[in-house]
Amino acid sequence: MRDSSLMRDALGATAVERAYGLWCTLERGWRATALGLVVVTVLAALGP
Amino acid sequence: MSAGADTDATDATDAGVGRLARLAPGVGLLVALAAAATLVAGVVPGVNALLLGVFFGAAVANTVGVPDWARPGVDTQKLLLETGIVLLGARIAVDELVASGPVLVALVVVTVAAGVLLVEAVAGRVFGLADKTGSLLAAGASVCGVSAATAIAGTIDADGESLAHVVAAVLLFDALTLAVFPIAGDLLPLSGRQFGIWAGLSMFSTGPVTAAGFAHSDVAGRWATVTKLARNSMLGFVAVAYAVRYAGRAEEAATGLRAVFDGVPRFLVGFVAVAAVANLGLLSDPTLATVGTASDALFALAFVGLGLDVRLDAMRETGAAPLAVLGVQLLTVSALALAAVLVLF
Repeated sequence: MRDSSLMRDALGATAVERAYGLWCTLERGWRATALGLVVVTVLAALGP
Repeated sequence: MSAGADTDATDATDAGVGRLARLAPGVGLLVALAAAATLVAGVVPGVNALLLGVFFGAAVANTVGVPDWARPGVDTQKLLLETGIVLLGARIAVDELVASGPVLVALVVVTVAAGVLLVEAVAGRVFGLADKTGSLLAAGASVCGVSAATAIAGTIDADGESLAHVVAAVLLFDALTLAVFPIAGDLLPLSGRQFGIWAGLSMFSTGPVTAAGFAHSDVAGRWATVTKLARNSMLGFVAVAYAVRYAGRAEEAATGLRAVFDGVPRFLVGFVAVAAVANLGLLSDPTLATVGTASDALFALAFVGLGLDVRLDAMRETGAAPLAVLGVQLLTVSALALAAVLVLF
């Protein structure tokens, strides 16, 4: 089971689950902040 | 990790997917109506796509109604609006803002204080409203609409019926001002910055202020949003003042700093962070342009959602006195704000 857990971490699956868990605890203003920063980070990484 | 923990993780993933699936139909409705508004505005001269989106939303809500399957997605409109404002930070010129900052902040403080005091003065004495109803109207009109009225209702322990009447009255004025301010902006000799600051100082709720600003021009939209955010940040101070007034206890003042912090909109953190990153030159011009496009798209969806929340039948149940109080506040504050904006900006 430990190996299974490590593999899930490697695949990023548990990171997504942790992010979702955190998302559920946030109030709307913090969610907007998180979404906005993610969008800017992704666009900056993808951009020229 | 145990088998149980694996199961929990899978459940969390399923819950996330299920939540997205529930949101999809309503978000799809927002996209469809925003796309229709953009298409119509593209072929009909003089029609603004953002305002048309609000109108389409209101037309659907008050004819066929918002179907239950769309409600969860439609309810994301405030999150979409606030995320759009966070991204708008990329288009804010901080040096320009700093140059106008002290005057703008002073104007916001004076406007909020004058608005609250005016409503408190006339609500009871002239229109015979109960003290707490007057306070809810004062906060709603002077700070940030329904959000402020709801926050102050919790602070002063107002009853649900009073809050419902105040919310309906504020929403009616939101719809009214969203129609009138863009027309006034076209008729009055105001620059984009002047119109934006005027709308940001005068109108009640953040969504309509942003929509009216961008309906005028991009510059007006940015100034309207920044001005309104400054006004929203006053909620904590107003909440502390009401807590002290109604509780009448010194210890209420001791929790003042916490209440002031709680009153600051959380998405302001993201807005400031994005503005800082953009103004430090950390984003390329194409990236800034794409972030701006994303912000516009989120606003277009949020404004359709704003229209879908307009309930004409609920507004008809509002009493005449709350409407009269809000009318006096709006006319007085907007006239004074217009004079100040013309002189100072």
